[in-house]
Amino acid sequence: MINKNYYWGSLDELHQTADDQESVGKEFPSPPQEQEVTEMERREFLKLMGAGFLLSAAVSCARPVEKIIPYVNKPEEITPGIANWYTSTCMECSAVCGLIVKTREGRPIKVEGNRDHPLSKGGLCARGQAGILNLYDPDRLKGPGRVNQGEMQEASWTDLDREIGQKLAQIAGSGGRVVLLTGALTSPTTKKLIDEFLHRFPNSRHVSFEAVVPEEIARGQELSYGQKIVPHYDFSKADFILSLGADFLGTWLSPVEFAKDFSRGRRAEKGKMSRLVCVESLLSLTGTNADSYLSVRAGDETKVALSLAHEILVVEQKSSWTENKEITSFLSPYSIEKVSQETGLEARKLKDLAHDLWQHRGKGVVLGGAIKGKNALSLQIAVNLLNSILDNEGKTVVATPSSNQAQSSYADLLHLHADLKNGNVSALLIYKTNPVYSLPADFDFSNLIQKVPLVVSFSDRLDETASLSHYACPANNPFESWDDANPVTGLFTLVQPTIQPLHNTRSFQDTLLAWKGDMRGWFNYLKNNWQATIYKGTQLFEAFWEETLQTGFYQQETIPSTARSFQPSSLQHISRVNGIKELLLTLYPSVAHYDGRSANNAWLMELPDPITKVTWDNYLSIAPQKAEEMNLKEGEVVSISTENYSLELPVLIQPRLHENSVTAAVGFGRLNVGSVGNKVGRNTYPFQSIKDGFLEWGGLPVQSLQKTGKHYRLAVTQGHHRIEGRPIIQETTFDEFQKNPESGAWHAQTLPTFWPRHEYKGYRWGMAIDLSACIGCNGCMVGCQSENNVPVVGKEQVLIGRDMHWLRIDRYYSGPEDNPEITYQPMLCQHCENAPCETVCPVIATVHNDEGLNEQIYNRCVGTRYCSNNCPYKVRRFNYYDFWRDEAYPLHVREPIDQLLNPDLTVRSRGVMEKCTFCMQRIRQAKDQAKDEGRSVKDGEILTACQQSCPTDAIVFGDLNDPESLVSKLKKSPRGYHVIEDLNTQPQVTYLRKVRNA
Amino acid sequence: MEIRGNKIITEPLVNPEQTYADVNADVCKPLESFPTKKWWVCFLIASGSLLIGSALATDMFRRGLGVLGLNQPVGWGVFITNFVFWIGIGHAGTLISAILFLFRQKWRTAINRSAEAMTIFAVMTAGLFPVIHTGRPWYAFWLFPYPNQRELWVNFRSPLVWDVFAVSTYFTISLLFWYVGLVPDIASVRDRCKNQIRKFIYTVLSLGWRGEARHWNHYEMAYLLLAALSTPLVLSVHSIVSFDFAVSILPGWHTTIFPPYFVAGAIFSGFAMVVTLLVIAREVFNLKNYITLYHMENMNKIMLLTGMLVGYAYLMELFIAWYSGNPYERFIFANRVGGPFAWSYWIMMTCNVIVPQIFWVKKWRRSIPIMFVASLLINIGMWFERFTIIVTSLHRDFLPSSWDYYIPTRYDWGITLGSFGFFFTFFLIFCRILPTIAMFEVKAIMKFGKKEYGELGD
Repeated sequence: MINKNYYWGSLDELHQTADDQESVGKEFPSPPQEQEVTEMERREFLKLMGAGFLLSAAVSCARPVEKIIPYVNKPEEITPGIANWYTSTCMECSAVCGLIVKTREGRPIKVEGNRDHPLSKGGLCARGQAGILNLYDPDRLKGPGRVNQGEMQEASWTDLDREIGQKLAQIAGSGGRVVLLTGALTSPTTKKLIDEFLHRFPNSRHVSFEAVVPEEIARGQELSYGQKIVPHYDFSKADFILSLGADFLGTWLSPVEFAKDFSRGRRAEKGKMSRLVCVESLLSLTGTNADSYLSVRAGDETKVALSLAHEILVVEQKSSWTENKEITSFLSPYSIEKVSQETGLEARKLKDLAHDLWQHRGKGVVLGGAIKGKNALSLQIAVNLLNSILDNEGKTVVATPSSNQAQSSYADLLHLHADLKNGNVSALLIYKTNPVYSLPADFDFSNLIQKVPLVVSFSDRLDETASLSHYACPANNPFESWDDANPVTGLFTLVQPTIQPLHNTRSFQDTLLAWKGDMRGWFNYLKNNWQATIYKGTQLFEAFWEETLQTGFYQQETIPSTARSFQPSSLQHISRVNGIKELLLTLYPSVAHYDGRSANNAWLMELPDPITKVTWDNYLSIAPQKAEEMNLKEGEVVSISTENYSLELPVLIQPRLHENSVTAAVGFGRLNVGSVGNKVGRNTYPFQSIKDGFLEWGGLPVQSLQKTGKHYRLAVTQGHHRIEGRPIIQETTFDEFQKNPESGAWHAQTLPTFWPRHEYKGYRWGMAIDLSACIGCNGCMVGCQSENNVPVVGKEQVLIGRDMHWLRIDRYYSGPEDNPEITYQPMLCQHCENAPCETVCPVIATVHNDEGLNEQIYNRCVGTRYCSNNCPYKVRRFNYYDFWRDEAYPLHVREPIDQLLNPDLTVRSRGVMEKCTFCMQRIRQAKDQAKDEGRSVKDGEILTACQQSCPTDAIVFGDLNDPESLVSKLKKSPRGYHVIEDLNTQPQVTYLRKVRNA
Repeated sequence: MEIRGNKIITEPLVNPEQTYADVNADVCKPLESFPTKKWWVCFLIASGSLLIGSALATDMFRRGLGVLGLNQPVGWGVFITNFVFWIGIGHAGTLISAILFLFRQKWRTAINRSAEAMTIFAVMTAGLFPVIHTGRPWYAFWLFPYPNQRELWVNFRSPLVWDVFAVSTYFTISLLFWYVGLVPDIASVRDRCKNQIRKFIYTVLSLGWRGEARHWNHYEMAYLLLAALSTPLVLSVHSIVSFDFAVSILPGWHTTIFPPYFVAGAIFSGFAMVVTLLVIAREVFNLKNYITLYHMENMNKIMLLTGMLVGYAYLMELFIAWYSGNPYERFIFANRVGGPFAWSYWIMMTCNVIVPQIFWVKKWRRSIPIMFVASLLINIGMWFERFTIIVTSLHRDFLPSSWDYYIPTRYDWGITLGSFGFFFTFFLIFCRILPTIAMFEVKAIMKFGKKEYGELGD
């Protein structure tokens, strides 16, 4: 039965024949014939063609488009390409020097010394200049959080404020003790805030502790003069300086300021040259610059000081103090003969020294000693005695202004220790200090801290201490927040933020204000405090504030102090150390690393030690005689143990060191500082001991010093130490110089030449470097590195010999091995007139320009390295790897290091040569500005990065075509010479002969 | 050689038993048969070394020159040593084929082909190093003065640019000279071909040579001219390579003795390499009938002579360093003899000055094992000569503050090995596809069939 609605297509379908049944559901009545294809099917063809298109498209793919968007509303003060400079204050150590911060397009990229600053006067040390890298440290904490077993769980500030606030309120309610442990703070406003904050807690205390604090000076002053202060030492008035272990050019109190003043007293041309005598148990930077050097056992400095006093008072009967029986009787056991016998120093030398001191009374200064040295308090009292009998007190050593650096008190620290032991501390807040790392082993701080119910760290990373805390509330970097400082009485400086906080951090002070419930904000608090307590003038405060922001500091009127009278009773505090025969270990803060706070700073890690030229490590320095006696070779690993601690360290043989001394730097061996500094070197802090209420790290008796049979390679940037009789260093003595300014000169014969000389119609840039002024502090090296985007290569590459510093400081020894003379020579591209590099480059990538500069054209450089081979000064640096981009290198560019780079010059790629340009970008900038103003560049307008920061003004740059410029006068100076002049390279860099005060 | 009456009796240059047919059959045999096991062993070693070198070089390109042992004072090391070494190796080839040709030294005929091939491959190998040792090898072409829109030009004062010209000219002339000399022999190979493809290739390569008198006439003239062109190149190339050092100001490099010293050294090392290669080739391709002990002995004599020349140069350098009174020069030579790289200096002295002295003894001069070992030692010695010159001058130059040491890495050594692989791979392939002995020239000096007409030959 067929449905009426059934539609049929054919009769076959209607009748459902067999044929039809077969074709049901098929597309074609008969199956399509499969074509015999021998070559390629259409589908295959399309597939391949598609793939082909894809591949060709992939090849020509552009990189992802990165849009740059110009300012829509340009901030008024920011012009792209023009740097803005802000004054600020260096927070790298408690000397707090004045800074100016260079910002480009809103990011700080370089710091320099503030020329107007009354203390540092434009100088800045290596650490200060490297501070900017700490801001961009990728290992900083990105925000606050809870810390559990060293693991960070991020949290919001609001949550933490509530949580910590509740806990603090609880503690306040229960009368628990809150201790705020900070580093040495010189900020008056922060201290005020801390006082206000702690006021809420009945049992609270503010303890400050830093590894390097001159507490013994303050205590010594208290005993001798009744004032617990660190006096101010005025080197500009000192003709004769006796340093009993004080490394005032390197790390002692305020090295930049001292170096500046010291160098001003040593300009041979002015006919006056101060004399520096060092009596040291460890060879410091200052010791290497001494005119005469006496090495003693640690602890014997006191005896030397007393013997000098004995000679002056008892033997020569010179000072008015001779009458004082209390003093003379105390001094009686310290005759020069006896002391010379005990210390092994020549009696003659000590007598001469006493004589010289007396000759320069009132115009000399006696300094003592290494911070935390052996018997440091005794030495301070002896030094005070000397300064008083020599009438230096009140003249070169003054009580006003006094330094605010001794903020810490070991008594407080020991008290805290006792409290921690007894479990008396309910909350410990830790800011800017790292006690777990830098306290002695027997302090056991890492265990004690774990007993405290609430530990909050303000550290910018989970360092050794912060990782044991409960909350990490990272404070801003100094470049990100407001602060102030009061380095010496009457001088107040400001820290200005130069960038928004990079991460979700908050300044320590803001955090305290928040917990205090004060909503004003730190900036207002600071400003109000300045208005209320600091500013003493009559001007409108706002105007004053603006002005202070521009100058960076405010100086109150202070009344100069007069001589204080020495209290002979203080001599009773001198303890006598007798007959130490064993080896003594002395620790010291190194010039590059100080107490180790910036151990994650790659610039500082790669900065060679000024004396040993070792990078990326600490080591045990040992005298050559001792090494010979023990048959030790450089790089051998020894195991050294004292009463408190033992450690394995590689050996470095250090001429001039006392044979009974072994020394090692602190600040290494950090465990939780970041990718750069972790496990670099060994931590020597645990060797410290507590003695008579003092932390001591000088003259620790060594119980055993044994070879381990292991070897270790120290990454040294200079392996050879003598000049081999070549005309590299020229020197003379001050006496000779006064008779004949050209004494000590050696000049190569000038030979006739067929070649026309370079003609300079406009400028001709040149440099003069005064070897007499250079103290080898390495400040210029970091300045150069920071200005010129010089890469960091890491320890392995330094070991191979591929350090990239454009400017290095060569250090040479001369004379006898046990007490050699030491000379520093900054070495950079000499911009030769007859440059050996220029003729050999096959592609003209290095050329002489019409202003006397030897230019390196990076993008033309093929990298044959012929120029470097032919450079007699070996100042050219080759990019063996892509040090800026390759992840294997410490400072490879990643967030946020990219913001640090100076946009005025390129980051050199792998395979090209680079070298000093005389800060071409600065010359360019000054020339542009002069052109805009229709004048020529003035002398002193261009300061190269190395010159700017030099604390001793050893480097002068300028136009040699201008006969009035300082540099062309120095070039013609009788002291001027060129390094290896006999090669006839005719450098634009003139060195000024070293004048020694022999 | 002996003299009988007024007649000089010389040793036959080719085994007198050989016929003309033998020459073709023997020389072409390696071309026409499946390679022997010995060839395969050599080839696998060579290409394996090349592979190692290439892999390391690739990694070096990827990561940077830092993988080498170079550092701040020592900007040139093993690579430039290799460059000078391989250029030196190339010298014997041109000397044998061009200078000995002009001087009508008939003993050259059996060895000139392979020596020239060696030159070509050695110069190719040498040419690699200046390119790969640059920091940015992808821009190495900038060393050529090519017109460009940036109007950048090369520095004609730089010896490296002179090098570019000297080496590329040398390579071009050597290649032409070699190829021209090959044409008649390629035609012979073509005529023996059975395979069509093979025949086609050799037909193209033989440039239509049919052996007509006119062809021979042109050939002889062209060959003579090219020989005359190549001759000064033998002297100029290594002189210019020596300028790389002599023109600089480094003590130990800045020396006027360098051009003749380097040329003598190049010939010395070149002959040593020819001896090394021919000792192997005689063995592997069974060519003892053509490359006889007489050839080898002659080459050993040249090595003895040039060895003493370089020995003289070594001593003269020391003397001048002392005599000049230049403190840097004095220091650098004292440092070579007794400094941290003294081992390299003494390897050089032993291998280059002492070892060749054994060739005073005729028996040793004609002993294959002795000359093989001696030639290898001389090659090593000459490599270390360049190493000593380059590295000792650099590692302690003017300012003692930058003195350092130089330790080559596995990349330096591996790529050096690769350069040997590169050279030998080419050489072995050459032995398989082109006649290693100049057949037609050998036939010209054969006595076969000439005796009947009364001493037509010599």
